[in-house]
Amino acid sequence: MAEKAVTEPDAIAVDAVDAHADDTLIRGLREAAPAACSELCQRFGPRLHRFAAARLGWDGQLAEDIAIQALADAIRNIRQFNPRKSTLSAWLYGVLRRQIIRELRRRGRQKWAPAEARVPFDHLDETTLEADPAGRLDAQLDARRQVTEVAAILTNIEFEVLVLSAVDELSAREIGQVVGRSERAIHSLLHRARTKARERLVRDED
Amino acid sequence: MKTDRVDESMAQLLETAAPELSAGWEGRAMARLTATRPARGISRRLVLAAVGVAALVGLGFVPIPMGSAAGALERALAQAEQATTVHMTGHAWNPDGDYDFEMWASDDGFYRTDKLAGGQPVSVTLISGARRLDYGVADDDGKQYASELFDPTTHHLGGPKMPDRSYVEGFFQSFKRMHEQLGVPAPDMKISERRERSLLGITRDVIDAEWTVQGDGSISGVNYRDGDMVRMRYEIDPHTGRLLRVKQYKFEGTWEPRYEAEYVWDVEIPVNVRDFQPPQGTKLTRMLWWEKRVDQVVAQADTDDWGVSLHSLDVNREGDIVLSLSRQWKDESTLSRYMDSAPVIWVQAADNAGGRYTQLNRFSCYNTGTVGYWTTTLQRSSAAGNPSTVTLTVYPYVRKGRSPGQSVSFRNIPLPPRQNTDDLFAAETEVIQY
Repeated sequence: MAEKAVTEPDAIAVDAVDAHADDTLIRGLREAAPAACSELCQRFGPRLHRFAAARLGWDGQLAEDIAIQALADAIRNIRQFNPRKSTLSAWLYGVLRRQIIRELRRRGRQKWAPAEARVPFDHLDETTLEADPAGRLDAQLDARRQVTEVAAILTNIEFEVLVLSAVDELSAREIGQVVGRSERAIHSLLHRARTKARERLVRDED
Repeated sequence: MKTDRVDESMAQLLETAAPELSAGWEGRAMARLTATRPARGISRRLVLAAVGVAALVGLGFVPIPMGSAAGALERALAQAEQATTVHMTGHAWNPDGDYDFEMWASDDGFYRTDKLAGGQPVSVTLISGARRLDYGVADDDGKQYASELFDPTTHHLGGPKMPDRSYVEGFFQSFKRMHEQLGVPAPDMKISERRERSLLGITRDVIDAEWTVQGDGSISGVNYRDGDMVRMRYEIDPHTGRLLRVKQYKFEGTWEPRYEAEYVWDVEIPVNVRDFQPPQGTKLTRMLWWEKRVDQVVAQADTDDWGVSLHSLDVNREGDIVLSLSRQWKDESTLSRYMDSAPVIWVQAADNAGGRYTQLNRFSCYNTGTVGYWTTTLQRSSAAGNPSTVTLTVYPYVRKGRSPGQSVSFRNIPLPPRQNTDDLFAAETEVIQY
């Protein structure tokens, strides 16, 4: 059978499937169904954790705590979620972002604490690493350095917008819902962020 | 799918940089999440509505009823009669454009109203005593124009009436009285008078009047069409009895605002308000014909119903005569029968040189319900001789009849010297280009 070409209608169909999955998940969460909690945790937990870690100086443990707190807040306030106003994904990132901002204010931290100081060496044994843990750690530290340098030349919101777009693949509209800006403003922010990041990354390659 | 290389690089870097989730993460998360229950709280919409209502009540937009306020309008009218000045500001929503306005009035005969667009006056009327200055900007070509004249009726009445008094009265007393006098049934007007108080403790007497407009018309410059439902709202301070605010609404499914004005009474009128200099580029036409004639009386006589005064005669180089006349109704109680129109003063004339005159269709008039000031031109049909006197027969109100009882004769009135001009009015018109 010939492969079906990927066309725009298929992308729409994927969105529709996602929306249907979200509807089912939301109904389950409103009924406090354990299966729905598990699905929420598996589908969104790693993504929220990664975003939180990037914003909290790679503090993995803190990022976990914040992500769990955000998911719990989301369940508590699930009746406030309005699917006509945003996607579930964007809404969850919004909840997480408020948690991160609250945490940063509470601790009075800088946007970027020294990354190396926060590498959870004591957790290395518990993690599933590649065959070469040392090599993995070097790569991780180098990646954090580069991301830290990019973040240093971006504003907080530019960095958030770039991460949400590049890593979490949210649309401009969804990102706007997360950070409270218009879609047009997000396009503008993304353009600026990419331009600045490109200069930094190219210099690093040189 | 990422289309930008920066996005790809950043995604790779962040994937690599991100710390791993701890082994016990999912267990911790599930323990926490399954222990969490969705809140059953009041919906945000309800909360917002409640906060909104509370705010509106607190700000006085949603008032608390405090019973009736019978007679509030009568008291406000009585208070207005006592006031010496009033300052009014407001906004009107008109089909041909919204505008702001400001009005000052004083019982010393001063009145000024400005229509504003973008904070700049596009129309100004300034009355000081009997002088009236009008300034405006033409809709078609944007040209600025101004005119200044002397209104003998204002002089006769002793200055302009405080406009708000007549205005307020107009919709409650005069409105019905006028219909009664004309023998026409007044439209049903539903009036309610009530007292309201906001949570801030501000108390107001509110008078609402609703009716259906009969025939196209205008209220305070706002145009309405036949059949429009209109509501007038008056807000009165119950402590001072002073009118504070007037609003007009038109019903378009909901009551839509069309006009609102706020009043401040007994304020000092700033000096600069009493003067208006037209902006650069304005052409001012000043015509003060009546200023030097209104107090002159060359001759005076009465008909059965009217008092007639001849104020002046002016003669041009051709011997044509311009008469400045006034008529005053003697019995005001029956005036309304003749209010449907104001016919011209009709004049027959002959001079002592055998000259006959034809009254030209060229008049000017200032009329009120009781008095009218007219100029009319008598063209000399025969150029022979040089008359020194003229005899006039004046019918002050032709519609009343040309019976002897309704005319007066002024015999052998001396004629002044001829002026060296054909157009006497043009000769007395001053044009100033700013």
